[in-house]
Amino acid sequence: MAEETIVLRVQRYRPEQDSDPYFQDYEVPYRKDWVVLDALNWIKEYKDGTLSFRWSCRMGVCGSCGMMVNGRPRLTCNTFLREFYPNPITVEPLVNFDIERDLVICMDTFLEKLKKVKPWIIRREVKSPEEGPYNQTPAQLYRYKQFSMCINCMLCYAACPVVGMHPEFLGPAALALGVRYLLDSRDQGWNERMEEVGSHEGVWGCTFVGECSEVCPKHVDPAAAIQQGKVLATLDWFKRWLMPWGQK
Amino acid sequence: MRRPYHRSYPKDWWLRHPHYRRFMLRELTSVFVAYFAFWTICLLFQASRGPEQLAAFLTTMRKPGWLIWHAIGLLAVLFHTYTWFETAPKVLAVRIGEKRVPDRVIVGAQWVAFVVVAAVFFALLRLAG
Repeated sequence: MAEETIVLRVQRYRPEQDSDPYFQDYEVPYRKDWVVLDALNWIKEYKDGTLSFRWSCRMGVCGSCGMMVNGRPRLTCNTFLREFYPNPITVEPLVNFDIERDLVICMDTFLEKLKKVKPWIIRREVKSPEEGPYNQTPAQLYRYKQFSMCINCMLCYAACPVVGMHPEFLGPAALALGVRYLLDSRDQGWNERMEEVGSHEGVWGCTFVGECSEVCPKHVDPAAAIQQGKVLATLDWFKRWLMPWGQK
Repeated sequence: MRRPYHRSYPKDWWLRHPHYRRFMLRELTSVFVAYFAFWTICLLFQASRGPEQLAAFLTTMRKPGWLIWHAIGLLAVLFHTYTWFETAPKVLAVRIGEKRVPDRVIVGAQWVAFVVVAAVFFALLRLAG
């Protein structure tokens, strides 16, 4: 019996020789338990060693293998071929990012945005290790826990039309992390973080399309984080102007 | 050699997925919310000019063209309300202790409030004759 196959239409771009990206078709063995990333690795191993793409853990944890699969931002390690078989599958690099090579995107813009929200705990009073940890009740943890599950896969950036049209918008993942730290009882960096999160390029840039939450593989719900960030920014504004003496 | 390739964002992005089309519909139907607010101001203005002007205004509003237009408007506003109520749980993360109040409860509470306010409004209208 002839082996079942499936066609992968892969977008290629080799900066040293191509002026524009183009599509290349690869016929790949079809296996029910293969994901798109398995097929890409098969191509790299047996058909075309020049094909470039990022991947690492193969289990939806590292966030490296995000690509456009039939026009939707997906982690290729948990997108099965059987979802599309026998139709061909189109694989492109994530949109809203420049292309470095083939399926590899430039992450520079995202990393700059991530840095802006200072995604770490800021303390004015630092405890020494002998003084013990910064304790937190389960209720305090649950306020932000969901927003801390982000794996920086950037699918939400590819899903967000605002990111596409206004590249200066900080974007879903960075803002969700910013809000995550605003909601963390151990954090003391409210004012400096709110300057970025509560700005025009921050939560107020969001028009609440909500697609970031639809594509998020970790159910972080960045759209919810951003809308809650808007509430926090509004309360913060009132506090600053109505009670200037009450600043943290 | 690094030579990043820049792609421009497609102008027809909102046609490319049902979710985006739904978002555009949600945003566009908000125009009718503003329209009905404006219409209410017109109604109050006519009422302030006296009973005859008000009656003339209401007669105009009963013409088929206006009725069809306002039926479309009502559907648009109801759809907008529905989408707004559905998205509310994302904005309101209500917690009782360690547990989050389920989304359905928040959405349901808004519909209950909607029905109560509408009932009170229509009861007042009836009382006013």
